[in-house]
Amino acid sequence: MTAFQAGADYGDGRREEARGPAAIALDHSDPVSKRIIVGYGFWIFLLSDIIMFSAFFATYAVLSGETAGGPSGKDLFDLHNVAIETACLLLSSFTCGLAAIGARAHNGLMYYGGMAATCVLGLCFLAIEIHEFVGMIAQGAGPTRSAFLSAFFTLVGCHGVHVTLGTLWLLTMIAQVFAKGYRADILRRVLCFALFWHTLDIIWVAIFTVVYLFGAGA
Amino acid sequence: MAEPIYKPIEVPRNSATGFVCAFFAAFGGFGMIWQIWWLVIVALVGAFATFVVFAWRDRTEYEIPADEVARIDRANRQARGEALVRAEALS
Repeated sequence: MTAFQAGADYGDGRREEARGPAAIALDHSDPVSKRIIVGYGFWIFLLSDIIMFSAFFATYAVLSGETAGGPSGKDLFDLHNVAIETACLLLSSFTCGLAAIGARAHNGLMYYGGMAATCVLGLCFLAIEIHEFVGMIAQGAGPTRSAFLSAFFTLVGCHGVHVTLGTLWLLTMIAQVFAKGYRADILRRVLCFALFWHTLDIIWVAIFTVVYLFGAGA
Repeated sequence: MAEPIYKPIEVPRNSATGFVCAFFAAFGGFGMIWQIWWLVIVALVGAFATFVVFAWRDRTEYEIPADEVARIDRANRQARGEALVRAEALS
């Protein structure tokens, strides 16, 4: 009798039928851990987010010269401010990584400290960005001024909205771990949050380069 | 044909979260387009509250017992077997 015949024994107590297509649904122990599955699923969401951003980047790249006689990036961008914003966000990615390690190690100081630092740095970033936007609108360089500025506010504003909602999520995760402890499903959410935050950082690096460095240098 | 070994299956519990969030998102989007700011705030708070309620559940999954899995699969196998017999009779 060959192993491919029905009823063949693999020596692990399971018969051939249990390894057929139905076995995938019937097998209780997953082939991969839930942590991997959740991380993979969240990456698919993040990729869809990145695709949306790439569309905004393409729009901006096409429209960045269409200033309609209004101010260009060179007139508006203050690289000093943008450097501080970038430093805030890159540092927050580091503290977010520390928080994720702290959560896995069930280390409260590292987790809460890391999350709090991430929150403060994220809020600093937002404060500088909002200040920049308000200043631009006050000098008549709002999103309605030119196609360049429409594209600018859409792209950079969309990233800012992501950081705002990310901060809200961050506070929720602090409260969740505080209320429920380091439960496996909550640790998976911390993992997803960390992935989200790092992705925002990656997108900011692209914005920093494409919008601010190219814009100020053009 | 010998039967497979049936085991319980773990599945997520049903939840209305997606629908409720979409409801708030629709009103929030409407409010943003027509600049009805109180509606935007209400919708955002509603969506966030829904998210928190969903996140605070303690039981997120349930198990379909092995007996139930066996019952459903046996019925499917029988239906498939009968269909095969009918197909053979036709050819």
